[in-house]
This record gives sequence, structure tokens and C-alpha cells, in this order.
Amino acid sequence: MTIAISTIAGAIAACLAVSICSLSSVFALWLKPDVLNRVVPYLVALAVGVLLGDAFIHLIPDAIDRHGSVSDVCLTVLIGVFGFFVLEKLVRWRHDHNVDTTPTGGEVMPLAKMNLIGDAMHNFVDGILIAGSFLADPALGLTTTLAIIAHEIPQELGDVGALLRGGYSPKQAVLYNFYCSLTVLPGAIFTLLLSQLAESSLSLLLPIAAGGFIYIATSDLIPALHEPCNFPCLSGQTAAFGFGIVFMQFIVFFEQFLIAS
Amino acid sequence: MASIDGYLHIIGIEWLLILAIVLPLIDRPPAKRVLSKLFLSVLGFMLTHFATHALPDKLARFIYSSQHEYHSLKSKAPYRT
Repeated sequence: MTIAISTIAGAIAACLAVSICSLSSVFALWLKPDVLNRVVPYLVALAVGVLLGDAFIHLIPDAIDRHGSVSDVCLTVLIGVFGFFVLEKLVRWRHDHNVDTTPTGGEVMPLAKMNLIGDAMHNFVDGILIAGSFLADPALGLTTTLAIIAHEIPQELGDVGALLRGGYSPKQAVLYNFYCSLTVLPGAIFTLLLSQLAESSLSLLLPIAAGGFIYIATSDLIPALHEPCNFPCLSGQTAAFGFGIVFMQFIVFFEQFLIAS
Repeated sequence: MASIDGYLHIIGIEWLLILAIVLPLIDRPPAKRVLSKLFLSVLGFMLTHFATHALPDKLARFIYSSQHEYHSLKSKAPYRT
């Protein structure tokens, strides 16, 4: 199969646009440390809403659409959760960490590294989706890119919140988050080179990424939200959590609108 | 659908934007030096492309746009960069 050069260039341009979105979190560097410390719990709550929303509203339904079997997809999601659990245990064992949920003395918590792995996998899948849609039709590629950018911005903000919570400095959080977002390019190149294999790998990669997001949100991020127990935190974090879910649902409507138009 | 030229311009601008944001975040001097050179290379490539291809093309289109021969000549080479 020959692919037009303009299709390859279009897919790469779209992937770089998605990577630029991850740098939207650079605003965190302009905030003063005390302001940033106040904002981080709300960003973490936003991350919980966005990660769970992405898993349950986007990734799992998309995997079911592609695979057809609900039980197989659910099993793969569970394998994803289990895999991330084992990965976290290995990271903790390798670094001999205790199970505290607060970073101490410049240490980086496993949740931050797990988040980077999950985000890298998610961006790789995004690359497959972008290149796949460009192969089908450049107009479809553009709408897919727009939909991915729309859900990427709040997710990257939330991810940076989780990385800051995990012990990275603001500079490191923005940079590492950006490096992870670059996996969108290998995802696209993989699809352009081996479009058949990439299409079939989606039914496996989508639920595993969903499992990773569910594990990170529920086991690492939600317990961290219980620490400050006052009314402003309760109301603000609940609103941020809810906003994350509502935003991801809104993206579904936006995608349907783009496909219909 | 954009032309290959259009996509290459977008890719170049995206690289410049990424490097402009990432460069101040990097502390290690060797990495900073490499990225600065990459930034200058991309900028140089884009300016060269603008000066040697895009600008003459725009001028030619402005001057000869009313000529039928110009349009028939342009349509023969759809993938020129």
C-alpha cells in the first residue's frame, strides 16, 4: 500500500499539535510556590475526574466498539489494572519506598512514575488513532485531532497536578509530561508503517490504558485527596472532580458533532 | 486538504514553538546547546524556504495570475516543495 506524502506530513503535524497541548501546563511555572501548593489538590481532583472519565466514557466504549465482546474488554481492563498494580509494587520494591502518600525530601513517589507510563501509553494510542484517521481520510484526521486536543488539554493539566503531587518540581513535571506526550509520534509512525497491525493492537492497548488510568486515579490520587478535610477543600475538589467527568462527556458530544458535520 | 507545503510549514512552526517553550526549561548546558542549534536550523530552513520558494511563488502568482499559461504550468506539478 502506498501512502501519499501529504498524508504522512498531515499525521505528523497533527501529532506535534497534540504534543504542544501538553506544554499548556507550563503556566504552573509562573505561579508562586505557595499558590501552586494551593492549586495542586484541585488539579489532582481534576486529574481524577478526567482520568476516570477518559477510561469509562472514551477508552472502554471505544474498545468495545472495535472488539465487540464486552467481557473480553472488561477482562483486558482488569489485566491493565493488575499490570499497573504489579508495576507499582516493583517500583516501590526497587526503590525500597514506604507506603506514605506524601513525598518527603525530594523523593519521587511511584504514582508519578506510574502516571508517566500510563500517559505515554495513552499518547501512543492517540498517535495510532490520529494516523489511522488520516489514512482513512484527511478530513477525518483533522476532526480526530481536534477531538484529541480537546480532551488532552484538561488531562495534561491534571497529569501535571499528579506529577507535582508525586514529588516532581514544576519544571520537571512540565518537561517529563512533554516527553511522554512525544510518544504520540511513534504511535503514528507505527500506524503509517503497519496499519493492519496497529488497527488490531488498538483492541488491546485501549483497555490496558483504561485499566492504568482507573488504577492510578483510584489507588493513588483519590486517597491523596482525603488529606485536607475542610469545607473549601471538600467543595472545590468535588467541583473539580465533577468538572473533569462533565468535560469528558462534553467531548463525546463534540466528537459526535464533528463526525456528523 | 492542505498541500505538502502547507503541512511542512505547520510542522516547522510547531517545532519552533515546542523548542521555544522547552529551551528555557532545560538546565543542562549541552542539551541546551543542541536544542538551540536545532531551533536555529529549523528557523534557517523555514526562512530559506520562504526566501527561495514561497516568496517567489507569491510574487509570480501576483504578477502572472491573469495569464492562462501560468495556471496550466502550475497544475502540472502538484507535489513541488
